[in-house]
Amino acid sequence: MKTCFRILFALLLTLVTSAALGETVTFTDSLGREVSLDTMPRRVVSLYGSYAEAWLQCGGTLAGTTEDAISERGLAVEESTQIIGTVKSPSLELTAALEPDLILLSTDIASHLELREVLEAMGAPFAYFSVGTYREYMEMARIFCLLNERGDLYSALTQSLERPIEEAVARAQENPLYGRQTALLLRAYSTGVKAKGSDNLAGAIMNDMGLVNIADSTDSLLENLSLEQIIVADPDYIFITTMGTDHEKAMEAIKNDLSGNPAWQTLSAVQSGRVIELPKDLFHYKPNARWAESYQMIGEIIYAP
Amino acid sequence: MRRDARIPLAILCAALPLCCALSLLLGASAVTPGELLRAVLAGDFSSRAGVILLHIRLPRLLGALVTGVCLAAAGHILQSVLNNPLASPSIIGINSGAGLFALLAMVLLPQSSCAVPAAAFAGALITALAVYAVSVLAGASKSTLILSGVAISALLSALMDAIVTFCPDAAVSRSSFSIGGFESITLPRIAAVFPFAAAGLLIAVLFSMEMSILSMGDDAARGVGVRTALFRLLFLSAAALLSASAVSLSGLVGFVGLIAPHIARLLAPGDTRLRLPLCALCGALLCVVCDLAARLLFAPYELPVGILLSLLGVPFFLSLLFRQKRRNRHDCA
Repeated sequence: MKTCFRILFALLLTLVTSAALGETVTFTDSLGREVSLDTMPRRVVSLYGSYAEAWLQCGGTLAGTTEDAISERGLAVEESTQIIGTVKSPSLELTAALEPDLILLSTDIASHLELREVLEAMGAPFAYFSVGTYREYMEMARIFCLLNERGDLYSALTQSLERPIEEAVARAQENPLYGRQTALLLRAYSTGVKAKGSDNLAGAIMNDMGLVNIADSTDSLLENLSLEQIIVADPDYIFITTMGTDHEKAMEAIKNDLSGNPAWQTLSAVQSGRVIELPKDLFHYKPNARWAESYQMIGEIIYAP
Repeated sequence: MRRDARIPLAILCAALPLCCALSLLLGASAVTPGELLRAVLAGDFSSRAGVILLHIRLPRLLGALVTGVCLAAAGHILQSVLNNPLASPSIIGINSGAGLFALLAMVLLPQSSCAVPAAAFAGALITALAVYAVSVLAGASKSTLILSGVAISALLSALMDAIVTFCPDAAVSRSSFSIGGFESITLPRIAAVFPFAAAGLLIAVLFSMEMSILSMGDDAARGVGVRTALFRLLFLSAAALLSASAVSLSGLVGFVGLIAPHIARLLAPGDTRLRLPLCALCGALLCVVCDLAARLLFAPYELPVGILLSLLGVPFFLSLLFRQKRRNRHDCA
């Protein structure tokens, strides 16, 4: 009932916004900038593959994007879509040559933030986004769907994404184990391993599903990964995400820093087979329209009968 | 053997405008030189070609020029004043200081695009002055200056590693700053550092005779009445201003400060009168050519300019060394 009301409200909002504001959509981006754009921008350049995917899913078309849209997201872009460099080093010249109506950037990428001054000097229309949770993704999708005048797609997303997530969380909250199971979230790089709290994608999902992240209450664990502290906390689950293209090196870092130590075997999570590697496309890269799968996966793991 | 510097100077003076023109006319996009010229002649900088020229290529070119001149001049000053052919802006802690302050800005103000360049500038200056203060306490000689620089650089590098350990996300930002580049330079930013760069160059030009005397050694300098400690501080300040200007614009673009003075020396050995302008031209050309190559070689992807400077600069420098050796052998025969 609540979801139906939200869908109706979204549709109404789309109609009212289009009618009241004519052909302009105004929103505040992640840097607090007020951005006003005409609807139906035709020439959009995304400097981040994840946002390129989200834009396409919200009914838009792309004039250009970075190569990670293909190499990491596996997007099948049209031939007319130009690759304008890498996500960390996009070519501003190629972007400007496309005469974009809108440039999408991320506040989480330092090189994107450095481009702000140049873009402002150029007078180019641009917007920054930051997506760390599904709520932030839904907000970005709302803006994208408004711009593309595709309220129907936003409604469909609400149905296919928001509703299953709410149901998964509701089921988790009804479980007697909710809020009573602990977990450690590790992110493995080729050069080392770090514990992550609830302020990142995977951590936020774990938190929503009722897992207590031991790194949230032990600040020093975030700064200095200590097997001793992990043994004292003895989490019920250990989740691993990997970063970078070299998966083998990342797993080797886990072995060198942690699992190679005999003390690792004393952990109850290790002994009961609850050390789980989480898929990168659902827990490291932005899941976008697959966010519900991330929640459902965690639910199936920690609340399996 | 002394060789007249005027011929290589003339060649470089002719080559630089040509390279600058190429840098403005060529790029990764399909915008043709004709479109660019039409935009300039019509004064239309709102067109596609005009936007690319005014807001992307021109700032990059000017940034490369300023960075190249500043780093080369700073390297020349330091190599002369410290009598050390391996001296470069990094030796007096400038790179480490700029890097540390820039990293702090990335961690504390991650969403500010102005914080990093300003912090890098401040860090470079503060560190250079700190290095000098330490060396004064230890005797203010060339060797104490170098040793202080090395010690403080090591300390600052350790601090940077500590910050990255606690904030691993900063490692990515630090990486791009450490390699350096000209992608995000704007005309206002160039205008902001220009007075400092100009001040540094002015000091080097006005006191070039004292610099040449200092390069002959402290005893010789004192013998002709040059106050070595005072002038060393003056030239160190000039080098710090120049390097800080370059670092705040383009990050830690390495190698230019070390290699450009040597190229100038190889082109005109023995002639010190025009060494500084020759050096500045070498630095400017290196940066402009490498920036152009970085944009074009693997378009639409760009190589970081710092990497290209090493890849192209080193073979060129080695070829000059070998040619110099052959020439010396021929002269001796």
